[in-house]
Amino acid sequence: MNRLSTTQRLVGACAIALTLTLLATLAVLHILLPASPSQAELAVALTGVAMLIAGGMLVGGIARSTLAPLQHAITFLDGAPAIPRERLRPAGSRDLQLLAEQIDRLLDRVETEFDRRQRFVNTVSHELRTPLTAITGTLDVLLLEPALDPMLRPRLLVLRDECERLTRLSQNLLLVGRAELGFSLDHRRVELASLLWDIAEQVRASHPEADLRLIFDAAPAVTCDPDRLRQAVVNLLDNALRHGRCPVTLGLGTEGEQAVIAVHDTGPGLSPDAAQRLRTSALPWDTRSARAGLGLAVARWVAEAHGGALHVRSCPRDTTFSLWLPGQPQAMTASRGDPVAPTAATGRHL
Amino acid sequence: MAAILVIEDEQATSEFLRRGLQLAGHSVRVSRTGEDALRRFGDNQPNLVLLDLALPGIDGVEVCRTIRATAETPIIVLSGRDSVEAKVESLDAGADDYVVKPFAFSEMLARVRAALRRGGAHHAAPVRTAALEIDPGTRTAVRGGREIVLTLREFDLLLLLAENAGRIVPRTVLIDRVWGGHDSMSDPVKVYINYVRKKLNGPGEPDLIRSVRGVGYMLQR
Repeated sequence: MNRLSTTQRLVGACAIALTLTLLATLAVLHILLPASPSQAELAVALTGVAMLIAGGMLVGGIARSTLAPLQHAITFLDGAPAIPRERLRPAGSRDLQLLAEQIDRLLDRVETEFDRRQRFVNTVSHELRTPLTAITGTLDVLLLEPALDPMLRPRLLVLRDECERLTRLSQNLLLVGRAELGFSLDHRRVELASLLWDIAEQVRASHPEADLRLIFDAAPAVTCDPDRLRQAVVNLLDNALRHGRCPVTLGLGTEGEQAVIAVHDTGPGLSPDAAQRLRTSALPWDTRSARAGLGLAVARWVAEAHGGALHVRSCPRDTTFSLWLPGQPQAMTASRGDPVAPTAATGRHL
Repeated sequence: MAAILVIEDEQATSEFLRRGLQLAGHSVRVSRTGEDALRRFGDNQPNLVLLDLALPGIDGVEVCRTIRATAETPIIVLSGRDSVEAKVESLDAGADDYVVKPFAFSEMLARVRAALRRGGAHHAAPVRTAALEIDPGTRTAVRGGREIVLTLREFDLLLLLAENAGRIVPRTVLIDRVWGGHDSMSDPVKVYINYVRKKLNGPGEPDLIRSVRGVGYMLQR
């Protein structure tokens, strides 16, 4: 309170004293004259209330001007993004300045730690790709060898399949890692028909035996992150090809303002338990969700990060996963508060 | 069939690329650095370049730019970076295609075939539907013994539809593949589909191309 002038203190003290006196008088009057209050009593009571309000406003005003830096700090911290790039900067009284300096130092540490982890995730992502490329490619080419022992073919195919699974797993884990670090989605106008066409070509190339059909009921364009959406759709197709049965259908349509990407298969379907877990678990941070499939968890997260949703309808020989995306450009928000940073300033971390 | 220059410093990767491309009938040379590749490029004049971005010495994007400054040779970039920025940077530097590692070898082969076909250096197998025979090597189309004379764009459009006969090809895919992604305000696809239709359908012959409103076009299988 060292910023208060002597006059301000005096006025404040007087106001409080006056108010207390009036309140005391009022209480005494009320005890002595419990029956119908006279006009004089009412006048005294009203004056008391008015004085109370005036005094309160005066003290409040002084406190507000003194504590403004603290209010600023509260607002600043309340709105701070997951990765704090800005600083509070000291202001106000000596104590408040010290507090602000401490908070800023803490924010420095948080930011450094985030950047360090981000670099780590990006390095891991890159380092994993090199050996995975060599293993996948070598297996693919071995399978093309004309002199390949027919006994080896099925075993190499198993290896190839597992290798692809490892690739997908590492990509999904990396997305979770990046999401936890608060990466922001890339906003882009995307022609969904073209994106799905590319994905289908890619999947047909790696699963030549699979009967994958594309059905276009419409050709909407949406604002989305094409790489993350591709990952979500590939996860849904991977799930259908691995656990479902062909033909697998990849459909694109619209429902009102929304675009709907649907993956349908004719396999045994999801158990009610697994479907429930997919709908309710806090993803992808809840480790229990791994049992419902990390790929599906990531698909749901991607949908929700775009302001959309992933729905599943499943019974034997008829399972559909529908990924809904808002058709109109809109601010993308994460499903769980912070993970997707709200400002473009934090950049993308791919 | 084609001479391919592979620029890749990871030996395990360059080895499977070499063997796989040889099995597909191509002759292959491998360079481990950009400097070596640029030296060899002038002597060998390959039909196609497979270029890894992460190279020791000169960066892959720079190699791409240098080759593109003097030659029209198709360049396919192989990269561990999957961001849109990385793709755009490579395509701006003159790359024809961008493949993210790890990839299925068959997908890579398909892209090599497509790039060679666009480059005109490769005699790909003809595509047949019930009514049509289309030869990408000679760029001719035949319907019922009658040869159909098509412009470059018309031919590319018909070939893409024929390769996917029986499937609806979205309009945006046609724009991406035939017009290189440049979507102008006037709809080039609609106009060109009508040109192709007029040339394709003789008097009394049924229309082979079906329009799917709001989505795209389909050639009869």
